[in-house]
Amino acid sequence: MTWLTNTLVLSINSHRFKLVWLGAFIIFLFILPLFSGDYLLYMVMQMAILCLLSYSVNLLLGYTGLLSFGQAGFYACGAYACGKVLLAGASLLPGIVIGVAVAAIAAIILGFFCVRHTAIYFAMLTLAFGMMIFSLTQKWVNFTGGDDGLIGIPRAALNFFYIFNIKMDTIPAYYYFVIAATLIAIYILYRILNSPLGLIFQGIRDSETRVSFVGISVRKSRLICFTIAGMYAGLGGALLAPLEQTITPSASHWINSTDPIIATLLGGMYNFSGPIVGSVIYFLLKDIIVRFTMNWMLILGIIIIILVLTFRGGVMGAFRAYLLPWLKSRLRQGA
Amino acid sequence: MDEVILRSERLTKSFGKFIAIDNIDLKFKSGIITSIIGPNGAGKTTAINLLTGALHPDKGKVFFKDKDITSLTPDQSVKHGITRSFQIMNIFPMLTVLQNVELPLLSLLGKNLKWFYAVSRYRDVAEEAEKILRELSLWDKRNKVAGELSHGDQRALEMGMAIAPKPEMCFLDEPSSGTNPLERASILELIKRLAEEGSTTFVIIEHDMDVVFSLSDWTIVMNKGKVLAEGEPDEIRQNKEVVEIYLGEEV
Repeated sequence: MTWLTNTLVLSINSHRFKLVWLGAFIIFLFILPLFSGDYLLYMVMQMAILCLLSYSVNLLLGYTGLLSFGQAGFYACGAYACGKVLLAGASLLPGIVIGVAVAAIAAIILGFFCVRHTAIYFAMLTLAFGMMIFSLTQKWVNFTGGDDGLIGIPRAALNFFYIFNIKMDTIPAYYYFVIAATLIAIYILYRILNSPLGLIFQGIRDSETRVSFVGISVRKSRLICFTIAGMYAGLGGALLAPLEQTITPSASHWINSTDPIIATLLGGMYNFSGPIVGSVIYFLLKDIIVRFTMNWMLILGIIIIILVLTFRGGVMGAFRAYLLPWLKSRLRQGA
Repeated sequence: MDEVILRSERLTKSFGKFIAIDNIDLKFKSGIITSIIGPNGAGKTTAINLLTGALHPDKGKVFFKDKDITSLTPDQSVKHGITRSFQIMNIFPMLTVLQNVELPLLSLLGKNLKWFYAVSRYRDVAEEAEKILRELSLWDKRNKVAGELSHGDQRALEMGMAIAPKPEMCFLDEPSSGTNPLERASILELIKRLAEEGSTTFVIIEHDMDVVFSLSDWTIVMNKGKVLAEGEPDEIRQNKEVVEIYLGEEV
């Protein structure tokens, strides 16, 4: 037994330990459809989409020090663009790619104005642009369908020339696609954040004057960051369109900007896995509390206040600061 | 060695009605350590801000090796070979010590847009960062979070970040402020060594007279936005006007 606890103590913080957890989590996600109904899969897909949005928020907030209230706008860009393309009869992949591309273009154009400012001005500008997109989705009736939105978006098959052709009409099939796309996107973000570019983002968060005095254009780097964040929100939206098969202006409502902010704060914004943990917890909390009381916002508000006042680093921050050392000391005592 | 590397022509900057820099001509010779001294509010830091592109002058021009750099932004002026440190500590407190020196190297080595491979995969960055950290005696602390270092170590780290882009000219704004005598001595030692080894021309803003007279080859005295006097440290020490307005209390 001593041997076992010793190995546990040694491995609990190591890279390999994290990889084992990660592997188990991914396997769980992939075998989930074997023993669960469509509703649960639908929920997990919603979590995955919230998770992408949260990463979009946290790339800006936790890694570059910018609070955006406008990510719903890019989310809607992705959703509408993907919906339009699929309604025109394209297959799934072009729909997703164009959804992401449209969100990226929107982010470059709006980011050009936003990244000149920081802190409260940046937050207000993004909120304003987000609301502009919201009213655009409502008023541009010819293109967006107004309040009715886009209806009957097909869950088109995933085909790539003649190499493969996978039908997506069933929930489990689309579930695999969403999970794969989300995991790949998160992996790419992980690489970005550990790369030179990611280091620059974190430098900007810590001190933008210092970054400019080591020879790097802060504005340009911020614009790149804003564009990547827009793409992640756009991917979330693009995945939503075939899932819901209907896209209404509510996709661009500011609530879709604040939900991921709350999820990120819940999970921990200085931790890479914070947005995943936060999205899952936020979703479950909402779902569980709603069963007991209509005033779920009140309960959630209390939980968030406690979290912000006591655990600045969110759940993952608390795990690292309190639970992990406690667990280690317990294991050591046992050994 | 005696050629002028950086000069300003009739530089003027005012904030509202307050004239911070009043029509000054500065000259910095390459290869020597120049220090700028003067009482609080003399315009020393503003002068550096104007020369490095942090601020832009109302009037006047700045020439670096006879090239007009007046309207460059800070990141552009770094690319021309001018870096600086700050009076108020300016490091990346949440990054590790190693990351703090890796970041200034990215732009120098053209890696600032690489987005897929981890920073540690770039050999040239890693080697250069190790060299700098060993020079600063911070290599053993490379994995510590920079904000947790002692004040003196943070000062040394900031200096490392200023010299990492291999500048031709480096401004140090009160490099020893807030340090204890022991740390101050080691920082001075470090500046001296860097100035002797490298090809960087240092300009130092200082309050501490010991630092100025022990370190610099040339001294510029500023007061109320103007250059009061300049010369070799010994001359300055004997200049009556300077003694009156500035050194009086200390000498």
